[in-house]
Amino acid sequence: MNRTVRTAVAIAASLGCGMLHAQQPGQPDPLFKLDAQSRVQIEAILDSARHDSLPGRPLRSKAYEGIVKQANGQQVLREVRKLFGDLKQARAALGPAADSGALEAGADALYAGVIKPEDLVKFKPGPKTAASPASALTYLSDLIQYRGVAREDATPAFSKLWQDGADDAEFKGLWQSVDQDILSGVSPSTALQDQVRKIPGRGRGGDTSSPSTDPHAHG
Amino acid sequence: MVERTPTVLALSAALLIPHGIRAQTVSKLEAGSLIASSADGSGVPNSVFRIAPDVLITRPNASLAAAASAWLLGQQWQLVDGSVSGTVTSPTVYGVRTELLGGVSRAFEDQSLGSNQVDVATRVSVPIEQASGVWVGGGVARPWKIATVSAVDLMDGGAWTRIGNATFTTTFTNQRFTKAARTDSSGDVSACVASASGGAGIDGPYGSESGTTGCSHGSSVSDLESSVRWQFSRVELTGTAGYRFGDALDVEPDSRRWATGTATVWVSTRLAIVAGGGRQPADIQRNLPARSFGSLGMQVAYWPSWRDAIPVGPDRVTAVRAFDIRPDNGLERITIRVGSVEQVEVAGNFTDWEPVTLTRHGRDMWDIALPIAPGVYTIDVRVDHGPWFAPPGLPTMRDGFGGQVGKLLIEK
Repeated sequence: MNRTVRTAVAIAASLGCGMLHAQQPGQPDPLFKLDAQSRVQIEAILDSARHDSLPGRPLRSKAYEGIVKQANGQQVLREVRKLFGDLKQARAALGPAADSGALEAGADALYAGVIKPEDLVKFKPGPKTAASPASALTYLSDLIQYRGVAREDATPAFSKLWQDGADDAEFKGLWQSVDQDILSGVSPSTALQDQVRKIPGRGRGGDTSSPSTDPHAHG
Repeated sequence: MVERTPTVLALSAALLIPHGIRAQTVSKLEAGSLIASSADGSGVPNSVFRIAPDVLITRPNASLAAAASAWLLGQQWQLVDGSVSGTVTSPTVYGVRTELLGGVSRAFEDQSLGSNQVDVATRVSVPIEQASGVWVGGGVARPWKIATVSAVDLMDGGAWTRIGNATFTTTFTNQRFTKAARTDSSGDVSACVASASGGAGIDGPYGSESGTTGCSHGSSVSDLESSVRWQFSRVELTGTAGYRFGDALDVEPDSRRWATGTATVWVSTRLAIVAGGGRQPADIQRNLPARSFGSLGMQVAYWPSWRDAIPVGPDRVTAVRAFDIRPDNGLERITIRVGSVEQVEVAGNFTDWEPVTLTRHGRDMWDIALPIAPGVYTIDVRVDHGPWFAPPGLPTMRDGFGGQVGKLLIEK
């Protein structure tokens, strides 16, 4: 019994001192971790993006992401190909003035299915708008995908705010406030409508129901 | 004399194990003095030096735990109890997760009272908003070798919620069993025999007049227990209180209520002072009496595993308590709060998805400063080479590879 106890204590003492995990060394050129066929096709997509004046970095980044997340070559190729298609649609909707961040955000929203190409047009940069709709589209996608806000409520509200000149900070504040309300038990669409009304000067922005009786509202 | 060969082998195995298993391993070793007293003075020495190792190995859908305790009585160590248990967890489907739990345990302290036991249970849990949850479950415990009760059927349920730095848990457990032996006031154990009427009887006085707990056929005991765990900076406090429902023949008066408290103060990232005390209820399955206790000791660990208090704790990914990013001298400082881990990494399109390791500060704070220009980025976090996940507090989107990715917006 004593020998067993001493052995057990010895094991326990060494375990109690903590363990170290060896760190994996980084490797250059991650695309070479893919099979040759997938890599060649991804490189071809990157060439096509250059030819079409589309940003290549999001495509390469999506490939790297898949490699780090241990997806196989076919999965990575599928996602890169899909993103390429979404970038082309985003370019068509947002116009040539849209920067890489806006194209990426637009492509992400199209990929997630939270916005249709005809709605993405409403986020085109204009004289009153901020420089890039990336923030607006990012928060819009999250509210629809993960917070339960209906697309038919969120998209008009966000596009109206965008066209009225809401900036990145306002969209972030709106997203945080809606999220808090939802966690407090308010229905997602009601939370969005309530918070949109609270944005100074934009009370009518997201109201898709009956006209507001707010005497200070524009329109 | 210390046996060198098995000790060396044991140490070698222990040091090699972490490199061979792609899993999270948390261990602790507690050593200190224990003072205890029970109503009948049985089974528990008044004062003893105690050492208790505990190890938990977790993988995404399974975990294995082992624990033991030994007392130093006089000049000799005595192994008091040991247990090995495992859990297999299903993926969360429609917000519901199921678990299969099994374990083997043994009590050594008194061969006439102790028992080996195998228990198997299942549990269905529903996490709610990643900060609370409810569960129901059932199982059986089968003692063998020397048993004071027959097989125990268990049903339990409960709820937990995290508010700020505190986690509250309430559990309700029902145990149904047939008592196979009883302990009289002198400490002697006698077996139950079946009476002619079909009920269980005893070969001696039966009833509560002498203050003993007698045999009972088809006994049912239910425990209602609440606990709270609060942690802030280097201090962790836990408190538990409970009440036992049951027939007077099954529940001693001094075992109706209990309460315990523990305080852990981390003096370094790996060393803590632990103090505790209170009253523990009787262990029906092993016929151990209720006892009051006080303990003071040291603990060696990164983070103690607190499995008993949170039976259905959150998924590993939600163990990240906070994520923050803010400007710092022209760079962006990423700060993540997560304990119980050896390594924290971030990756995203701002690193070309090359994992970057954060630096630990204190027990659970990790950070790194990186040059990130204003814009919108993707970002994920992983701990101990586990799966990548989106940091809390950020908008997220599907990554196309079966998971999610966070969207990081750096303002001008």
